[in-house]
Amino acid sequence: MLRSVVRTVEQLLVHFRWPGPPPALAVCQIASTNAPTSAPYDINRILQDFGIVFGVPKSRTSRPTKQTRKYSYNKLLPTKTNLISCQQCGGLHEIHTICGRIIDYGVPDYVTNYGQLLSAMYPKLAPLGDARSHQVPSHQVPLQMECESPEECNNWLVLFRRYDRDRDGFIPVNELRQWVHESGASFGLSGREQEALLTNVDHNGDHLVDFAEFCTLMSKAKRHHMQHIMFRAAQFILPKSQREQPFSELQQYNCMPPPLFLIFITLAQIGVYIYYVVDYDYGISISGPVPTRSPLIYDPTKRYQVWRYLSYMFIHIGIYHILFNSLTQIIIGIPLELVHKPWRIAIVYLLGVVAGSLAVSVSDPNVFLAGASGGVYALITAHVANLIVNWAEMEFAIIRALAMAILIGADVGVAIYNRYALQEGNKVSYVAHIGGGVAGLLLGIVVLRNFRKKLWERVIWWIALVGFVILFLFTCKYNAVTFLPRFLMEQFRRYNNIFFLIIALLQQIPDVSPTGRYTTAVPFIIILSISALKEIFEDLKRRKSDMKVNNFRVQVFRGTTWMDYSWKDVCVGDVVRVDNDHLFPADLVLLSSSEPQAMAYIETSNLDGETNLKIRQGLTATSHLLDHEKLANFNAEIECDTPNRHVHEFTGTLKLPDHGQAYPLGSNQMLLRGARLKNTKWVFGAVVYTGHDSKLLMNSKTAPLKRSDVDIVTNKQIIYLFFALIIMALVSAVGAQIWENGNIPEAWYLGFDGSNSANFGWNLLTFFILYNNLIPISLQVTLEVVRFLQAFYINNVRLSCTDEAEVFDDRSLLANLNGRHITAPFIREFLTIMSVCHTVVPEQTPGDDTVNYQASSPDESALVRGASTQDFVFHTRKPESITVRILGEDKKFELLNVLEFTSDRKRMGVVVRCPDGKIKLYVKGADNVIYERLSKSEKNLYLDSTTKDLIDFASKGYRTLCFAKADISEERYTEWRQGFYEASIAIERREQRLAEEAEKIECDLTLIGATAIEDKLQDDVPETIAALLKAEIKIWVLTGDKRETAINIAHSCRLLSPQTTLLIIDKATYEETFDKIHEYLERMRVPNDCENDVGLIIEGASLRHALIGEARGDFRALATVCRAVVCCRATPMQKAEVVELIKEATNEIVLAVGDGANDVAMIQAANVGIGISGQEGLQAASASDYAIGQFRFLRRLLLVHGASNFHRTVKVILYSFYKNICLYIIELWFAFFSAWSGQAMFERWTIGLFNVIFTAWPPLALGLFDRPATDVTMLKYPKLYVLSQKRDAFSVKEFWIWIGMAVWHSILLFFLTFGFLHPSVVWDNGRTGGWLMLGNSVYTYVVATVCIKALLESDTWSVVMHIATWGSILLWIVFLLIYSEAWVFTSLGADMLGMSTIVFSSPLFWAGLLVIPVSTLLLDFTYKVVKRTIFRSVADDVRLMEHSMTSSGGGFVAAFTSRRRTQPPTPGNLTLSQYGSTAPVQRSESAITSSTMFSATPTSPMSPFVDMPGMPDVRFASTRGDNVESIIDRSSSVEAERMSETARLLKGTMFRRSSSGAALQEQAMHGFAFSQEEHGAVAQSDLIRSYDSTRAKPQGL
Amino acid sequence: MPDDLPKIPRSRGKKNKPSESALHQQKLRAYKPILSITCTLPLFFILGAIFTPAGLLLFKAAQSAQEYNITFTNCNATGIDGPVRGAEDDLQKGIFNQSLKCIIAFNLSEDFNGDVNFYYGLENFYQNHRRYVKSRNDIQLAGNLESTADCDPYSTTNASGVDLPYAPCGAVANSMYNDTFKLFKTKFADNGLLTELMDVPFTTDGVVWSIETKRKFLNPRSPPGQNKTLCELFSNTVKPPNWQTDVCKLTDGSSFGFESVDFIVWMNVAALPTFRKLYRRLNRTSANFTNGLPKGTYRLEVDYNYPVKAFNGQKRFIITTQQWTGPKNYFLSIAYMTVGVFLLSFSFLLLIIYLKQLREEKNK
Repeated sequence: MLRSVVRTVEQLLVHFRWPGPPPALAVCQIASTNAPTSAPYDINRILQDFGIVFGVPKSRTSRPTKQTRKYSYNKLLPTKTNLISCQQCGGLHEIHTICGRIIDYGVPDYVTNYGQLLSAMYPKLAPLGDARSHQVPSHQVPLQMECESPEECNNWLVLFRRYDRDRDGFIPVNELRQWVHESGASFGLSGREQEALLTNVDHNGDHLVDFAEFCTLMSKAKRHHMQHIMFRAAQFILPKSQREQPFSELQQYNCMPPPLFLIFITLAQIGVYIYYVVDYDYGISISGPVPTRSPLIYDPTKRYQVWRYLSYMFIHIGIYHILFNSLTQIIIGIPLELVHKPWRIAIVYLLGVVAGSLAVSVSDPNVFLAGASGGVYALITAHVANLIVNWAEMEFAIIRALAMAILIGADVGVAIYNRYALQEGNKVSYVAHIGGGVAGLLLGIVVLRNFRKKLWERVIWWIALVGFVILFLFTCKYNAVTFLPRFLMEQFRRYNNIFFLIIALLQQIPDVSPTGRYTTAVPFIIILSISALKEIFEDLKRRKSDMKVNNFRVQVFRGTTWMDYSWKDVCVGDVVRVDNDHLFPADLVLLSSSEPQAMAYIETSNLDGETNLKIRQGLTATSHLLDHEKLANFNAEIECDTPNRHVHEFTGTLKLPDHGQAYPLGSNQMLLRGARLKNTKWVFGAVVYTGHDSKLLMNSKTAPLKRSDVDIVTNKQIIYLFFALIIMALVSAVGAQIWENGNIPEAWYLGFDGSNSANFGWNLLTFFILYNNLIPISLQVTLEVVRFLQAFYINNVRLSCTDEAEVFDDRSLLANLNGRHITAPFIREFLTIMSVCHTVVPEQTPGDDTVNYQASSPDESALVRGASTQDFVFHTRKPESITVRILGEDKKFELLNVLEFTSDRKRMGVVVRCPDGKIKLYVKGADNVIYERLSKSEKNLYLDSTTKDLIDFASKGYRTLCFAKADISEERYTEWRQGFYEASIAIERREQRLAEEAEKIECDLTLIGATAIEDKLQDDVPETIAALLKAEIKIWVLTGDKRETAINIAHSCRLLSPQTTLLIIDKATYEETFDKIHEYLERMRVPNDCENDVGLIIEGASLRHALIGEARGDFRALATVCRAVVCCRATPMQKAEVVELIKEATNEIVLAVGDGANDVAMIQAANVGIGISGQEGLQAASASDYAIGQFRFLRRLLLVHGASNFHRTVKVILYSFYKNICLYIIELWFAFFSAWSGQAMFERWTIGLFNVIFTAWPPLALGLFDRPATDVTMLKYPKLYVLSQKRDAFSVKEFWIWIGMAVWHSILLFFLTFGFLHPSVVWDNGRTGGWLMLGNSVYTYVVATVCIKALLESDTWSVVMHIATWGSILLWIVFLLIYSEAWVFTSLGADMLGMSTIVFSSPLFWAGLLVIPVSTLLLDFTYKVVKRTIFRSVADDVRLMEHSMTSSGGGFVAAFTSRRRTQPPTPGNLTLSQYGSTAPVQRSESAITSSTMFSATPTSPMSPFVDMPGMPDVRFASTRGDNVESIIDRSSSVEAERMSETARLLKGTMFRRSSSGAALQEQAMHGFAFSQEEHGAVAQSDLIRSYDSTRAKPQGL
Repeated sequence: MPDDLPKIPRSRGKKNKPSESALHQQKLRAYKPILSITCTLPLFFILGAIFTPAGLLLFKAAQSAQEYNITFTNCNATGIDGPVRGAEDDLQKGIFNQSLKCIIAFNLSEDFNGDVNFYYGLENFYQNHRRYVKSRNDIQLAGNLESTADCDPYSTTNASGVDLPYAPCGAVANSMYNDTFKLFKTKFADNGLLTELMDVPFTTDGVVWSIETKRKFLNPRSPPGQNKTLCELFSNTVKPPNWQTDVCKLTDGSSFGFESVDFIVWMNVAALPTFRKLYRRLNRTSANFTNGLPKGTYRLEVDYNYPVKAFNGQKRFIITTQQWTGPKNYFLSIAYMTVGVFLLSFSFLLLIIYLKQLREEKNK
């Protein structure tokens, strides 16, 4: 087909044929060989001689060229012999050729019979052939076969005529050669073949080709027409200039080896796909079968099966997947394979596949991977590699590059977006694409053929090879740990690291760097390796803790016995036994337990934060599996959901093959990993999800990389500095240009003329490198080290008591007996209710009198236990009765009815028949609920005193519970029972009707008493919270607990006070939530005179709505004005979302404190995550940024370590910038005097070591030992924390002040030194010192100045600080002494030779060392003195105060202080009370709270608080140390102040306006102390009815 | 017992007990600089009291330094006898191999007592240009003649088909200063006729730092056993294009080649575009000059070889006496005095404030 196309084109060309050139200037005539031989050929002469050439139309080859080719003197036409005259036309032609004219004017039939003519002529040719046998190869023989048909001959003739432009019947060989070269490729002729054709075609050696020869040529060409397609394809891959060689290679290979590799691979892939389609009986579909159990697929849990890294390419999921991959690889790969050998493509393809899986294993360690995309992308980028390597020679290089860039860029972009912005959604593993792509690119450069090797390509080759090997090794090595990408991402997220990388690379350009080649690279590599070491170290620690968890032991049923296994060896389908108080090793389906009806209590606080126990119940079908014989015979199949992250959802079926029956499984049967078995001796469970499939891990996110605020600001400033740097480089380069233009030709001594002087760009680079140190290279590492050591010190702080992180039971009974005697009837009644009205199950081991209680509510069991301590021992529960040993005497209570607890009813009751036969109703519940139902007629004896106690309890933060009873007559009971029974079997609204029925009997109650339960907080929680509140930290409580529990806890940690107005949002739908939020917000806006004492309580269900849509904004606004926010029943993810909300809303730092696994997400989301390692395990602690043993350490952590470390870090950063600029901007001043040549003023290595050695210590000392105030002071005055958090400390303004100071210092340092050194003689011996005398002097002064500056900036001059300062200066002097002797022994420091003698022997140098640093720092120092003595800051005051308290000589200072303050009632008081001291301080007991001082002081012009309104404050969230979480955020205190007004008003109106508000208040005050699991697996009454504690429990072995 | 509870022992052993030392607790004893008046006032005063007299001392030293400058860029301008022939302009035409001679007469109005140094000075000469500074090879200068890295554009030259290194290579060496000076003490009769012409003796002792001659600038050593002359050792090298003499014949009178004092002084590049370099010192062993240069008339003869006009340079000949502070330079003394005076006055200001406060205290 192609042939016909070509033919058509040729035909067309023939039609558009120009008339052709006039008759030849020279033809082969007998004596026409007198062309000039001596004079060089000159086209002009020819043109003059033969004007006729002007008439020749243009052709593609320029006329002179063609002329040259045809008539060039060195290509003289040979004299033709054997000429005969043509019989037809009478012209001359060679004896064995056809007359040339025939071709043009020939008789038609002559042409048609050409073949015959030829064969007729052929014998004549033979003898001639003998004569040239050494030249004419044997393939000339098949001449007679040349034209197979007259048509073909005609075609050839047409072609021949086309090229025979002068119509002489001959084509010059040169021209033909040119033509063949131009179009040969389209005929599939390799260069070698072309040569072969051409050398043989002119077999008579006359440089002219006649038609016969042409036919030979054509027939040869024809043979290759089958290869046209291949060539066409290959043409796209090959560079223009290089077609010959690969064509010849290709010719050599032909189709051997054929491009079978990709075809084979593709077929295999399709085969595997079809196999699995058939195997799974799935049918061909888009989302096709996912053969997760295939031994080929990449399974993250089976990485040890290394073949999976490669074999996953055979698995495809869905028809699109396989189609896309196979088509792409065929279309893209085959052409590549044609050009480069199949083995090359195989390497690229297979390693691309491997790279894809490696990349995925590193970036997403938990996903399956299937498909050949890695390989496909490797092929695509191999094209790019091909393009890069052969850029100049490629056709349409730019278009191709663009196409590739678009294709790859789009894919990568989508990949990054999907992976990191959407988190999930698309299942395409773009990381594999990227991995494959990178591998393809690098390997392509290495492996693919490079047709013309250039020097830079060789460099690239090495880079690519090394790059590939390094990446490959690293991904292999850190496969398990996602180390390197994260590390590099972390490192290069900092601009300065990118910057130094660029500088280090730029320095490699020869002759551009003024400071040598390795002066940046070496420190940079050192710094990176230090960081890397640190990361690796931390990584190892993390792995160690993982190992610990992995190796927990569990009993697994294998074969017929129980065996001990590590957690990591538990597989899906195993049956495991978990004992009481143990964690579940995986997600299990509960089969049976030691409790009746396969019930089990679990504690899920790690998962959802709820502290009460939950009941799970196994299927009845499996509940009989109580020992291992039964288990061994048990056989069932479980079908369940694919792993997902929904904690509360599970659906599955259990099929028993014996019965053929299926049972539904739900979340009631689920025992989730992360939960703990409680109050149940043992359970058997079947493993359904393990490892990363378990719900806990599906819910966990990978730890995010956090950056401190300071880091972000620093990063930003670095950009500004970068621009400053560019401007400096530009200015200098312009200076250089001007200087060079004016001086270079004249300054003969430089040895340069204008031509070899550097150009502008070159100079720019030079200056860029020269000034690059403006950006402190050591800052990062200094900060890393400082932070590392700071952490070390935080760890190391010795507190007064460090060993109190003990485990304790957080609920202890405070059953208040109110001083009444135990034998009093009322008290008897009270204790009886406590021991009867509950759902607790007793457990007694035979032979042991002590009774253990199991309950889903820890509070209830505490109450029962409390009663038992008073000798009311509840010890037996039977379905119908319970037995209590009252004062040593067993009493049996018959359980008639159970009135269940719901959170609406807020009470729980039982109807019992007492041992004396009377029927009584015992109720316990929230006080308001009980009080409402008290008998109006009967006087409640202790009502008043009980109420008083209740208020007392509540104010202490205890959880209270009221107990009441009612005597019920037999008739009334019978009547009521019927209704209750009906309600209990009702199908519709059962719960509601039960409640209604219960209501009927729960009236006319008699109040018996009240209990209070203390939720035992960790030590000092209220104090800590108070301190944090003082530090203007806003506190949020996020808890999984129920609302009441949460409020109670908030009370007990005094986050909420009894006076706090509570705004409660507990709506279930979005609209309602939104309306509620809106309503509250409107209310808050109404100005009123209440205090700012409003607490917002929001339920998890509402929270879900509050975080979306419009409500989000309103919620944010509402939340920020409230004093405290409590979110209850929040799921772990919601907690994290709330943290995000606060972060986004206030743009402030959020700190999250938590101790359970359910806090991990939140801890990770917060800017600062703090884990409390304690009761609920170490997950929180190990996911956190800081781990503390107890909540109260938070106070110290924040107020002392937080504040002072922030202070230190800021100093370190500012100081680091300062010292760098101070030294390196001097290079700019020097440029004025060094012809803008970029000459460094200092010796090159001293430049590099400035940061690393000579000034490395002062910032470290600053960062570790500087103390703005003592710990005691900082703890005492939380206000100091606020001041330390003032962003002024590290604002842009502050930053540039420091920079300005640095510039000023550098000017002084340079010009003062210049001033005394410019005569160049400063010795008594009259010698001169050379250029480094200036450099080293300035350097010495800079080191001295900069070090002393650190001392000045330091608030405390400790020994370390002194050592760092003076030691650094000394270090430089010592270094100079050593380095000056280095030359000749080392290859370094020729310039420095003897500099120490030279520098130090100058008396003026020493004189300068005294005066220059002093005068440089004079301004700073004076400024500081003036500021400290006249315009003092709060920090200065504190310092003064500390000073006056500690030193006896401080009297003057103190007096001076008091003078400054003009308003205080008594001078001393104000100074101190202003800092919001929490503890009484000597003079601050004037009871002026910080808040009142707050509003009083702004009138004082000198007050430090004047500028406070604009300052951010920190709010903070607190916790009951064990399970509530806390959040810190900050917001403007202006807002807080305004709020206080609003809230005060609000509270008044709310109290007046709505009684519900008061009720709310009430309810919140007296929270009730127990809560049962509602709507759980087992109803409370069922639970009660199913237990018989007299029966022995199965042992489960 | 739950599995993953941290096992915290009741009493922690020594292992976990943080060290109580002040260093470990970040509680080092430290002085807190509170910078109140009471502590800054004495500090300022003491510093001021040190700096002001130190400044005066330096001032006096600078004052006592003597210096005489002769600018001879256009040597006919200052010469009494005028240039012997030619002018500096000729030099600019690239003809370096002919020497001009200027003779300059001058009068020292006072005795230059003690050691006297003679400098030549150049202005607007950027010896600190980056590529100029770079263009040298210290390994070669230490005697390894083959080494010419970094010496562009004067590293090697093609002499009759063989690449030979320049010795010394590089732009610094190539542009070596090659004027020579001779100083004569003259006496004139009353009629203005020259009656006496006394050679002022120069010495190269102490002109360069000893470490440079010992370690940095070394002629190639003759291989053991062969006793080659210096010129033989340099035979495989070419002198820099601008040089008039071969390097082996370069001499300051006592040492040759790389070790020549003139060469060493030149190779120690100056930091600033205006600089002076020590040429010779006065040889005070000569009977007439034991006390230094007596006042009177002198005559300076310059072999004028070095072109500077092209780049607007200036050439000077400088005679100084030796002071412990170097030549006349008041800069540092002024700096001292300024700082000292500032400190003193500021401390007085503080004193006033302090006294005022004391009075207020008393009044209260």
